[in-house]
Amino acid sequence: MTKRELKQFLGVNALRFFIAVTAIFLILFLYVIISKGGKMISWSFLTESPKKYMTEGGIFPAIVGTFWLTIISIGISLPLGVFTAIYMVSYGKPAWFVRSVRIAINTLAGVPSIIYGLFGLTVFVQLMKLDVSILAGSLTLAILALPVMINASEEALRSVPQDFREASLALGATERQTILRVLLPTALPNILTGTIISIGRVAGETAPILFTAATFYTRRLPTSVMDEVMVLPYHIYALMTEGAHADKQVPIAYGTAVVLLALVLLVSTIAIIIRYNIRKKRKW
Amino acid sequence: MVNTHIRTENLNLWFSENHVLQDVNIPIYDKKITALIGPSGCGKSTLLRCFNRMNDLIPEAKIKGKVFLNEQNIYESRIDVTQVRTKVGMVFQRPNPFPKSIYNNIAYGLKIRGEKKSVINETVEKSLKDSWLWDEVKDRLNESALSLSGGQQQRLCVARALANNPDIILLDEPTSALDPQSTAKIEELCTELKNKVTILIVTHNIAQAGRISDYTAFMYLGDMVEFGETKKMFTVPKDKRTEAYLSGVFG
Amino acid sequence: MFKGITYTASLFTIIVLFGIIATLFSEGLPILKHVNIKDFLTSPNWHPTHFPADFGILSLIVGSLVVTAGALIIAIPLGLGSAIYISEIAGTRSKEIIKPIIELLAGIPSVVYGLFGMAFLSPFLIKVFGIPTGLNAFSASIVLGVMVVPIISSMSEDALSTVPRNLREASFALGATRWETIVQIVLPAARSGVVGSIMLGFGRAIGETMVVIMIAGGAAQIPKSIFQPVRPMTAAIASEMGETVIGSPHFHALFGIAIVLFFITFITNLITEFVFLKKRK
Repeated sequence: MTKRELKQFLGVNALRFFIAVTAIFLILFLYVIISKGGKMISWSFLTESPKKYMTEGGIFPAIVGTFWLTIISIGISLPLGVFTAIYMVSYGKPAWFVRSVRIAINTLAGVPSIIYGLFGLTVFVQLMKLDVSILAGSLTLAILALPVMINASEEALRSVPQDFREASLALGATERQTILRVLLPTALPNILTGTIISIGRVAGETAPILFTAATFYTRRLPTSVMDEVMVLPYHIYALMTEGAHADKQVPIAYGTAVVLLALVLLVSTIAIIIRYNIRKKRKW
Repeated sequence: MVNTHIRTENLNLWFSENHVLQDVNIPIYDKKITALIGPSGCGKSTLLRCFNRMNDLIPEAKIKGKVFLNEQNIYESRIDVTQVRTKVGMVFQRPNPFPKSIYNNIAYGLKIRGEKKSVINETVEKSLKDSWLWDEVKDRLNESALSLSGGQQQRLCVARALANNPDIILLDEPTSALDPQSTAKIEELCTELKNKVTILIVTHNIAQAGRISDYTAFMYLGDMVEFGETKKMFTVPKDKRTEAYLSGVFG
Repeated sequence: MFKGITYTASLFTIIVLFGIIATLFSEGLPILKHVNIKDFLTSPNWHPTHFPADFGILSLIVGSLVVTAGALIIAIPLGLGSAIYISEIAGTRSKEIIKPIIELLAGIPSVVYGLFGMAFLSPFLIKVFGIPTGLNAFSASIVLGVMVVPIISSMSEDALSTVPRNLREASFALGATRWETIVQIVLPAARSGVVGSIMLGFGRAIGETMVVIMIAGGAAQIPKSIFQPVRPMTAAIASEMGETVIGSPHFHALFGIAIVLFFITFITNLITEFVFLKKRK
């Protein structure tokens, strides 16, 4: 074997090794979570409240909490994201403003989630006196999801061919009509995909809701957006770090992790399938 | 008397189910320019890429038959493909210089084979001179190759291939992305280079084939329809399809 | 009217960014009444609940950097290696399968990684290495590293895919092997995207909270070995904020840490932007 062939052989096998290590670790990770948590899953685990200080019972309140936080935060950030994207794509003037917005979006995208938590604590919990509540947590998560939402919507809108827009304007439609009747409907499937991906992200976030929405233990379900709630990711964290019955809490944490993982993966899989189909069908 | 440099023996190629080359037999003569012509999709570029085994890079491609380079079948299993490709240079349809300096573009083939610095320097200069680029770039060898004009870039690609000291150069529609002046220069360069190397050029430009080639092969729908001396073929084509193509009926 | 709505929405992102900065500064700067900035940044003594309290965050910064560096040492070869494999060696079919899987993995909530580290990896490491605790900089680096792999991998893969095919062909046609083509042509051509992916991975790792709060061990000290527990900045903020009195020096100190964290990620972002902008020109 020549030196060049040897390099080729070693290099390619190093790549194989790296991808194998990655795969093995991730498979091990998923296997551990699913095998240990899967045992916990039962109808009552999903539908009952926790009992005896988290050592028995189910996780229903946490599922409900995650549901509300996710829905409300997406409900807030989706219109904000789409509107911002529309402005960036369709109006895009003045240039300095668009650039500032772009810098703001990029910076926000890189801000650690715990800092969103601090912001939520200061502004929503204290300043706006929302206390630790579904609403304060949802607002915090909505802001966290905003950069992803804007980027996804903008990409979706930009992928609509310019011809469509010009054709509509040439037919005498106003800019607004063009946006609402041509641009948005065409871009909608891609915007939806972006939204679904954000849902997965938001549902799994823990740090931003630590001081804005989450509570460790409550037996009752929230009755208004001003209630504090149990949430799936926070529940895992709390089970692992609080309480005195690790032997009983760890299995529940694994079970909760399986539910959360299933939720997030299911949602993202749906998004990936939708996107795959859009790309396949797209004629332009 | 001319010597055969490359020849194919019942060469067949499929892309998945698509039979792109059908029993192609063609001789390529030493130190001559052979042009491959035919309407688009006839398989002329695919045939060209069989001579340096570039079709190996396409997973769906399946090849049957033989290609002899100096009477050695390059599709035998013990053949080192990198050596074949060193001996058989290639210039592509669009100029594709690496995003590196002019010098490093030419030196690339030599560096990967571990040539000495002095040899590389010498070869870079010689290759650039042989491709008539030296005077234009000798003062800026360290500038990015992407700063050159399209025509210069294409000559750089020729120089890059020449630096490997190949016996054969394959040109795949090398002027289709160039302006008329740059095209003329490349054509002149080809006629000059044939003193040193065998040249095989794919072109969709019939006039170009007529101007520069000694031999022409006309392909149609994966078949080698006619092969012969360019002068003869252009005046008295044997096949009806060749005649039709040369007179511009289809293409 | 409609334009006004969209304009207001765009303006909102700028307001939010300024809101975050203003919040951090208004709540974080008051700590400088209790400690001077030099001690705050360079003293390793973090004893916020002692009397008198010490507000030196050096050990927290070091904790963050150690864990992040460890994570990148793991994630760069694994992430970049798998990206190169997927883009340059795997066939189209396996690419179509592996790519979405990696994207899915990028969406796994970090708290689940934290659970894995605490409940499985840590006991395992104690057994294998015979160390007193499995919750330390080393185990946090491993888990954080694996978490960052999909990010580096998917973004690098995107960058590698945008390298035009004709450059690869040119290299092969000159007699280069696949490995030579990867190392000398494809990687240099994709350099800015690859660097960007690593910067993004860095930002994600240093800003990650749940993994380090659960696995890094929590000791506010400058570690003498990677098998010692550390307390990264994010972990300090998240775990102490719940126990502190709003408006107390400790509270302000935690916001002060957040300012430092914000600056680190902000500068990382700027550098990434700069690299990309240079590319576009």
